Amino acid sequence: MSEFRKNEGMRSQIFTVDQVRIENEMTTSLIMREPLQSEPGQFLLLWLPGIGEKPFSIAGIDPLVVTIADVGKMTHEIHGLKPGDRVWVRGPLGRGYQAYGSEALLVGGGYGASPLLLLAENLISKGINVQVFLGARNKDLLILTDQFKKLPLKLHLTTNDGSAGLQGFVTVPLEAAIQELPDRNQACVYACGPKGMLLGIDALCEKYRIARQLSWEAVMRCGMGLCGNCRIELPDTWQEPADQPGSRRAWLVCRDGPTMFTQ
Amino acid sequence: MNNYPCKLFDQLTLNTPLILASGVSGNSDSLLVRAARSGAAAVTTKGFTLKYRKGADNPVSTDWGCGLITNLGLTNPGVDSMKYMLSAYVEKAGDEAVPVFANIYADTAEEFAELTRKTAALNPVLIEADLPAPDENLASEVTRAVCENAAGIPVSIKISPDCCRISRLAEAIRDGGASAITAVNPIPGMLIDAYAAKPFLSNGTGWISGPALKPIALNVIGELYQAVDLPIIGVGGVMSGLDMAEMLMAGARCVGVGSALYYEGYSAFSRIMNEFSAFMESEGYRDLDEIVGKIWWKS
Repeated sequence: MSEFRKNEGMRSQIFTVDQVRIENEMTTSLIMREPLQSEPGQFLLLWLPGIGEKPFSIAGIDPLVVTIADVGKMTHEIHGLKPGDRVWVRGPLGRGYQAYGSEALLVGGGYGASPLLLLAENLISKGINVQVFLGARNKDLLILTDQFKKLPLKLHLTTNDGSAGLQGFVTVPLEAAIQELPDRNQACVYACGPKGMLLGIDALCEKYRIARQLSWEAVMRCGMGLCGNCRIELPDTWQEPADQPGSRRAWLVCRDGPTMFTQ
Repeated sequence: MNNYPCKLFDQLTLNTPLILASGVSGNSDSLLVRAARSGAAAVTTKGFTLKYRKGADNPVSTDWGCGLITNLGLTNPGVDSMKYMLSAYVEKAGDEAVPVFANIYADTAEEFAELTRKTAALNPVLIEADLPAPDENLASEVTRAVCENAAGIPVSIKISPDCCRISRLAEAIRDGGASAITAVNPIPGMLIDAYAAKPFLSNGTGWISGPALKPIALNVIGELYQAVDLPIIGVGGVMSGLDMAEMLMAGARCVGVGSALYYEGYSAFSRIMNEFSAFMESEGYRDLDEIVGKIWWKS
């Protein structure tokens, strides 16, 4: 057989749904038959032909796991998928989390828990001590808690209404844990969630001079750094790299991120 | 390092011949600032229309292997919002502001007339009008409508390569009063996923840009250069300093990059310019006049 140079760019690959795991009333995880090599914190674009394409976090890589809340037309269609159905995936895309230090504090707000599961597994395999803080408005909106409980880590839960774990924001037990760290220079906070939560965590980390990697959300269109739709402004605490002038005020979540590293 | 200043018209000289092409990131003042600070000698806005356009649903683009395919459906907030974007750009860029080319799109000459009046009031250094179809009569009407309403601001007409009589089109644009021609727009194309048995883009078809477009652009630029004596803003698949030199030799006076920002990010500007300077020095060229259109010179 003759050999052609394959040059497929970033065309979609087909994945087949193996299992559908219900996480809560609104959220399910699709567990695929195939793996997807990826770093924790990277994302993928999932295409349902004729329906649409959206970005999602990667919750597991071998096999690929994607955790999806039913919040719109396309995610509703995804919730109708059954074992044996096919989906089309582009990725992994973007910059993921990097392992840093010996103590990891992982903070997930709502669906922001999704990429942290893979990150927790990855950090534990590197011998890093992991604590996980999950927060949500109420207990029905906490996701993947059973999956985190299977791992050798300390899990802290908070809800705004007190229906599970501590009542209050996730930053409360986080600050307590930061204060108890043996060496803050060897620790890193990894977070994913809504903007308000990330800004609060950034301020907290600045106060204690602790490294953090925050994963930002934005409405994404092209996913390729071209359309500019997902640009955001990063907090002043982030040091703009000298070779990326103008990036702090026009940071492309799809391309420069989604994770930001402040040391 | 020599930056190779680029005289586009009597009233406009750019610091270098490398600019941000229309369509990439030009819908945000802060992204225009980022392009300027990364080394673009001028920045072109995304195409603005008279009214807001929501644009197409995802998927809107991908890398298919030899280039990109894109169809964002002309997403833009409408020309009235361009005013705020351009004033914010000037304020945020401060000393590092570079000239702005305002790209506009309309379906008819009448609509172009109104759109141009609104755009001219924002005082960009150049108005770049996207020709809706590569037709000589339409080119003539649109060019006149834009030039008559541009309040003396130079006008460039941006053309698509899918035209069989480039020289006639160029003459119609020149006779209509344009100061420049921008060539080329991406070329129509389609991507199909065989397993899905569907087109990949939500709109079905899109436009091909990136490396696949470069030889097509060079051909059109060459024809334009020979047909009319207007400065040509070359766009289409420029990824390196050598690509840039080739486009200038085909006849372009300056060169825009777009897809390169996908392949490399904003550092593409400085890398391409460094490579171009190294080429000019190694080949002993002192300024742009020594290479623009060089392949057509009879020596």
